[in-house]
Amino acid sequence: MDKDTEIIRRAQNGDLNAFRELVDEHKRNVYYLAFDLTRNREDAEDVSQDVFLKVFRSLKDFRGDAKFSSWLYRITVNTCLSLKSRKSYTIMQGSENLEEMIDTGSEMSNPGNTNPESQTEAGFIQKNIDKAIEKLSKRERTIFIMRNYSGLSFGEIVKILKLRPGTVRSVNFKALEKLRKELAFYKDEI
Amino acid sequence: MKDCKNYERLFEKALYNELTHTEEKIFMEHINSCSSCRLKYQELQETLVELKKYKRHEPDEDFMNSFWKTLQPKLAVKERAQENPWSKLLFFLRGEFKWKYQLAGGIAILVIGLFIGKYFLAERGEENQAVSTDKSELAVDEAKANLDAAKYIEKSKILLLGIVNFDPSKDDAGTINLPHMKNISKQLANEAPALKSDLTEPSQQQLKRLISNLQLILLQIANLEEKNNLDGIELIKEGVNSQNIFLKINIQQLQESNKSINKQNSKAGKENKNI
Repeated sequence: MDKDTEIIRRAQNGDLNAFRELVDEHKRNVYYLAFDLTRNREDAEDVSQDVFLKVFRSLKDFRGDAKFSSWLYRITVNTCLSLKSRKSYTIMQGSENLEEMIDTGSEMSNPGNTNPESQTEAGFIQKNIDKAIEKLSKRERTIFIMRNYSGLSFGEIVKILKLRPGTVRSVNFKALEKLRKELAFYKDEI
Repeated sequence: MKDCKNYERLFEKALYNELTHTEEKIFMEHINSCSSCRLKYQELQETLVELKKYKRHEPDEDFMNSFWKTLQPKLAVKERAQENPWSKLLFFLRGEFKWKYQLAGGIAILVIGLFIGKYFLAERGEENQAVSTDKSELAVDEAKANLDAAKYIEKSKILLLGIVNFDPSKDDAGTINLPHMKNISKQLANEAPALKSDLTEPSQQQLKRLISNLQLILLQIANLEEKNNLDGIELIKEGVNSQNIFLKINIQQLQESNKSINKQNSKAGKENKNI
C-alpha cells in the first residue's frame, strides 16, 4: 500500500495538516524534477508552488489507481510544459518526432557550477555529469531524469508523457549512449 | 555488425534488469560471443554507475523552509473559490483569465439582457405608458439619479478591475498606477453621499446599497499607503471577492439595461399606436 494513502485520505477529507504533510513529504522531489526540466531555479520554484495548488484543487479526484508520486510527477511535468508554452518555447508538445525537439540553448543555466566542491574530485564528477546531461535534448533529458533520478518506471513515464513504450525506451537509451560518450571524454581529461 | 544492431534493443532492458528469461538467454549468448558488444555493454553499465553519483540541484533552503508559508494563502483563495459557485466564477474571471474574459462575460451578459428585455419584458414597457403626468417629474428625477448611479458604478468597476487584476506575484509593481487610482477612488468616494441621497425610491434601494459597498471599498483604496501596499491590495481584493461586488454590479447593469429596453419598447409601441 502507498505509504501516503492514509495521509491522502485525510487530506481528501479536508484535513489541512494532512495536506501539509504531503507537501512536506514531496516538495523537494517536485522541485528536483521541476529544476531538471526547466533548468532554471525561479521557474522550478514557481512550478513547485503551482503543482501543489493543482494537487490541492484536484486531490478529491485522485482515486489511488496510480501511485501518488506518479500522479504528482505527471502534474509537475504538465505544469513545466505549460510554463514553457507560456514563455513561447516548448519541451516536447507530445510530438513523437525527435527531430522536432529544440536543442538546449542559452537558457540552460547551471547554478550548481559555483559550488566550491567543484575543486574536489566529487565536485569534478558532478560538474561533468551536469555538463553531459545539459547536452542532451530536452526530451532525452526529461525521460532520462524521470527514469534514472525520479525513480519512475518506464510504464509510468509512458503514461505521464503519453508516448509509446518503444519511444521512451529508445530515447532513454540514446540519452545513456550520449552520456557514455560525454563522460568518456571527461575521463580522458583527468 | 548488422546482427549487433538487432541486439542493441536488448541493451537498454538488460541495463535495467528487465529482460525476460528468453531475452536474457539470447542476449547473454551474443554478449559472450561478441567482444565489441561486450565492451559497449560494460561501458554503459559503468556509465550508469557513474551517473548514480550525480547529485541533483538542491533548492534554496529559504524557499523550502517557507514553502508552506507561501503556499497556504494561495490555498485559502482556491478553497473559497471552490466552495462558492459565484466566488468560483469570480475567481475564474479574476485570477487566471483576467480582463479578456471579464470583458467577454460582460458583453455576453449585456446581449442576454437585451434579448430578455426585447422578447420577454416588452409588456412591462407598455405598462410604463400608464405613468400619470403628475408623476412624470419624479420619474425624470429617478431616471437621472439612476443614470448618475450607473455612471458611478461603471467608473468604480473599471477601477476595481485594475486592482483585482493586479497580481503582485506575476506583475511588476509599476504596472499599477496606485497614486492615480487612490486619487480617483477618493473622488468617487466623495461623490457617493450625494448620489445616495438622490436614491430615495424603494426600487432604488438595492442600487443605494451597492453604492455604499463601493464607497467603502473606494475609501479603502484611497487610504492605501504608498509603500508596502501589497497586503492592503490583497485585503481589498479579498473584500471585493467576498462581497461578490462584480456579480452585484453585473446584475445591476443588467437591470438597468432591461429598463432602458423597456422604455424604448414602450416608446415604439406608443408611436405605432399613433400611426
